[in-house]
Amino acid sequence: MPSQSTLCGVVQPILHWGMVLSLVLMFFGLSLGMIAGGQEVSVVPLEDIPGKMLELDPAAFLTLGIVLLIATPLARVFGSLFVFIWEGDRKFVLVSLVVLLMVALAVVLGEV
Amino acid sequence: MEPLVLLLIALLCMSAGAIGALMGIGGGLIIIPLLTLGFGVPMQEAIGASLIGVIATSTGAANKYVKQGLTNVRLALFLEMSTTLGSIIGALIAVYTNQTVLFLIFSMLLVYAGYTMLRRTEVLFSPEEAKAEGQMVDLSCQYVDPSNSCEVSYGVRGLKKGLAYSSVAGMLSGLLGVGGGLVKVPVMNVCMCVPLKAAAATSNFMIGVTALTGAIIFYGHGLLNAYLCGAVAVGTLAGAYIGTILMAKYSSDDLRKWFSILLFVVAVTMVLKAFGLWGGA
Repeated sequence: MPSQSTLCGVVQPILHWGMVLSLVLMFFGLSLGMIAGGQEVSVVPLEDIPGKMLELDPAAFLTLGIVLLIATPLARVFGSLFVFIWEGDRKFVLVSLVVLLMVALAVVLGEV
Repeated sequence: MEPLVLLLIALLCMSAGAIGALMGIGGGLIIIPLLTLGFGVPMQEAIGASLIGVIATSTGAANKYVKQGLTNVRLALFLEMSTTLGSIIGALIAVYTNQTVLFLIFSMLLVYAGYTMLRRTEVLFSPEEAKAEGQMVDLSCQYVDPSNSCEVSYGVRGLKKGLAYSSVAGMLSGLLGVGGGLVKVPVMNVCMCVPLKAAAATSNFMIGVTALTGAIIFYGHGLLNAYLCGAVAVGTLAGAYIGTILMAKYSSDDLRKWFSILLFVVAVTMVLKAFGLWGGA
């Protein structure tokens, strides 16, 4: 059984850096938008983010922050999965895989 | 949206983040009515921003709770299996159900949970007892209570019951858009003997994954307003940080009482919603 501290040692940095990076990006995007006069803008599609960031589009920075924030809980499930694989905890490898499968299933069904 | 309005939204969303982090709930209950009734934001945009706010609350609070050992990561993953399945089933059958009846049933369930939490004192189940009982997985955990620096070791009982009730919690959140944390915290605390602070921190941790699927779908359809989501996320992240500080100041008994009051308040808003008198989810 993997110790709680190993698990926390992997999950906590994922949460910390996910939060810090997304907060910095969203804060920068909001500040940029306020200087440029905030407009109502929808999120930018993933493939357009780098190009629009080079143009200093506030929505691109905000979107990247939002995407990172959404990715953080998913990344911590993957992080836990790797700890369970590393420590040979088969039951919890299965549990983590079922959670990932359910998330994928929910997204696929939601897109229909 | 005007910069000042965004600033005001961020400031008001701090309360949602703080209550969410303290009680282990998402905060959508506060964010959605705040945006729709307070700022005239269309419902769909408000739900999208609320999903981002819920993830921000979960991530911001979990960052601290995981470090403190309050979050039981294994228990969270174990129950996430059934909450995610329940929410999928809930979303699929939502169109066939009578929302008014569901809101009324849900409000009765909340009153019952609140009453049980007020009436009963917290029962601790030791890791040794859990081991002796021969559970399918060992979810025992320990943490240092930040309010009195005492180390608390606990075992988790009633795993099958917990899985079943968590799927109901997930189903309710899929059906009504609310209720994940409000059901999970009493289930963990009363049925599974998880101390309230650990139950709130674990529920808060789980909510990030529950909201994740909705957020991906909203992003994929371009339904998120970048500025609104940014303001809500920054506000709830700051609020979640305040919530974790408050958690360290109060005892489990205080939080248990407040959680019961929160359940009663939400039950009233659900009755109002059933009769079309409340704008939020």
